[in-house]
Amino acid sequence: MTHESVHQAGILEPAQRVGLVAAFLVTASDRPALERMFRTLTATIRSLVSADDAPAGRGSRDGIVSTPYQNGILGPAPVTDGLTVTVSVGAGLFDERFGLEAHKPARLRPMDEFGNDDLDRDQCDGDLLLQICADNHDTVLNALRLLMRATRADLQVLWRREGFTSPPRPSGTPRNLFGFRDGTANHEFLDNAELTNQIVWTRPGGDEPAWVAGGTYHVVRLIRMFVEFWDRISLNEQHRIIGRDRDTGAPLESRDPPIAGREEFQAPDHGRDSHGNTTPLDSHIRLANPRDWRTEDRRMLRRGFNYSSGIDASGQLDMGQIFICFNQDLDRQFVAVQKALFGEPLTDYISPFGGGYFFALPGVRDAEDWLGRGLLSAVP
Amino acid sequence: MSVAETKNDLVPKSTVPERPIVLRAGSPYCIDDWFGGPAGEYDFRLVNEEAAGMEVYLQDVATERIFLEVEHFGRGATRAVTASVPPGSYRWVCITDYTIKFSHPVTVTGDPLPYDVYGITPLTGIDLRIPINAYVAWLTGQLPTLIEQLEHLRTSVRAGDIAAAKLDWLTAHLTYETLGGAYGAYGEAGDSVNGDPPRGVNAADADFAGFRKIEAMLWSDRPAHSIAPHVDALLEGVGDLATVLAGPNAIRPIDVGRRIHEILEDTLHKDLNGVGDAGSRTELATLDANITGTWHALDPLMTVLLEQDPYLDETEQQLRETQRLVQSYHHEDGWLPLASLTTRQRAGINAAVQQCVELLSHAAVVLDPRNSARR
Repeated sequence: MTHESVHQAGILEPAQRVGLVAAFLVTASDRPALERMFRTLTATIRSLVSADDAPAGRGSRDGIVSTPYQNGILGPAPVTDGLTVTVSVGAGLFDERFGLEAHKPARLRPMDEFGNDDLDRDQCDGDLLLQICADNHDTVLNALRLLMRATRADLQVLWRREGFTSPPRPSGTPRNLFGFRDGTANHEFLDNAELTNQIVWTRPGGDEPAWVAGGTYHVVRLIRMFVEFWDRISLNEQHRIIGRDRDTGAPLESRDPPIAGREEFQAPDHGRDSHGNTTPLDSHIRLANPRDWRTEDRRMLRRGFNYSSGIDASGQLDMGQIFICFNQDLDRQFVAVQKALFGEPLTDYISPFGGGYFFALPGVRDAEDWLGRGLLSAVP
Repeated sequence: MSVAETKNDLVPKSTVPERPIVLRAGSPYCIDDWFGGPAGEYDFRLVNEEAAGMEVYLQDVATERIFLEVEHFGRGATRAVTASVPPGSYRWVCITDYTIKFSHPVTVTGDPLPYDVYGITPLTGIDLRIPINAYVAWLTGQLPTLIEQLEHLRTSVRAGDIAAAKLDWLTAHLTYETLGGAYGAYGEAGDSVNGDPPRGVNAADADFAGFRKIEAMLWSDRPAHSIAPHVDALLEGVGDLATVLAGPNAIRPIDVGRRIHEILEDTLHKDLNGVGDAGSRTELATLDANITGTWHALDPLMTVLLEQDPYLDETEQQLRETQRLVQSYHHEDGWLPLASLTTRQRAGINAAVQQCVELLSHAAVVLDPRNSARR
């Protein structure tokens, strides 16, 4: 996907090997400063994703009165490396400071705390989210540093988390740190434009403002996974909790014939298992999507990353998932599924502790356009 | 303004060569490989063929400002350099320990570039001596005030008046915090005056000296008589500081530019992270004093910076706004503790101080001591 499109990059493409999310508070003092911040972000992203010259200005092509614009970590010649930068806004941007209250995407709000959550509010929410993804870690960090430097006075990072996508093992959807393929269901709609439109892109009208066209609700959840505990439960138990086979990713039951190497894509079918004898009724996939026509419209686009970071005080590994999903309608999709998952056996092994609800802005349509233009133009 | 303020960035690139231009520095005329072309951004690759270390400049003949520099360019070295070159008449300058060579004229043609490019006039260590001396004189002139304030503190401590001692301590500490003692600027003397409390121990009991030790004891209600010897030691430390400042190289030319952003870099790393404070919770007062200290470090350099730092106005404005913001947390009954601020308030302060150091870094680049390009 090119940088100029109705939609931003970093949403529909398969997840790159490295992903970073950073939530910011906007410290810009007024509307002109806010617009300047969005324009600067856009110009910097343009140059980063195309490996083009940085926009001229302080620090860039201004002679010998500045420290180098480039930090050098990517060497002397810029590289694109599959880089995407996705800019999303959080409910915090729509307070009284910038006069945007009336133009908030209708479902945007501080992240809900669900029954099984243990949220650290210091790692939740924010005014703006950058999701930076690329094929290599250095490329992601370079982008983060340049973007933060370019907006130093106007954005302050609130929390951040870096993760990775595992390579296919041995094939198919990448695995999470419980060893299960995660996000298999994306393939059911990603090659179907009509379904993708219904699942991903938010529609203006009703209670949604006009500017949201081309955007999508961007949910980030930081989820600790207790990997040591998980490794101490039997494989049968793991299968019962998830509702899929760990090796192949196949559902435990399906009407589709198995095709070697593509078992994960067999459609789950619980029609003859109403008591949950094969796929327990409280297994993760069955609660999330019972494969019942009434719940088709709560499917979402998953695009998460694994994270691994240090240890806790009891000597256990701090590992987990940066759960990311995109939704046409936050409540109809992500929130409905979270409610359905309440109390699932998997909750003993995971602990959501951070994240936020954001709205990925519409894309930039041409060389003159900038991220956030639609939103800021909505207010006189 | 931010680093990448969007301006029209259309460069007449089609006429500027894509490949690096190789320049061999060392001929009798410094460089004979490139005598101009259209204005724009050039990639050069310089090779030192002089058999000695040198500096190479591309100098505007009329203004004597340089638009490209290669420093620390030793024998046999190659260096890639990118330079934006506006239209004008230039010459290459090659400077070694024993000679200075100028090239034939270099002519860069075309319309002015669609963005602002700033050259500088190289400042030598000698050029920086006058501002250094002025700064050291100012610092030295502050010491009697500091000593007097510390003597007040000693009197209050000896009288067992802890409440008065706390006020005296803050007054003296804030005076010290205007003196630019960041990043070990004053060596051991600086450490014994204002060293950070050791990690992981109660600072009031820890084995260290200076303002922070006294602060820790005052704010954890230690008996006044146990504090008094530490005040005496601090007064001695300030005496050592006077000796350091009287030395010929108390502040070297290389330190000048760095100092200007280092003061607030230190505040950012320590005070704004809650490191350093030993109980008085006066981090924001320290930040305010450090901003004042930055103004004082800038003061003797203003003449030079007015000529050479195109972002000076913006820098001064940012410093003023930041100081105003910080002072808004000072009320009748004192300074708000950093920890009492909301996340948003802290983000506002962090952003403002970070933007200050970004802008102050230009002064460091301009003030880097260089060789003169004059015969």
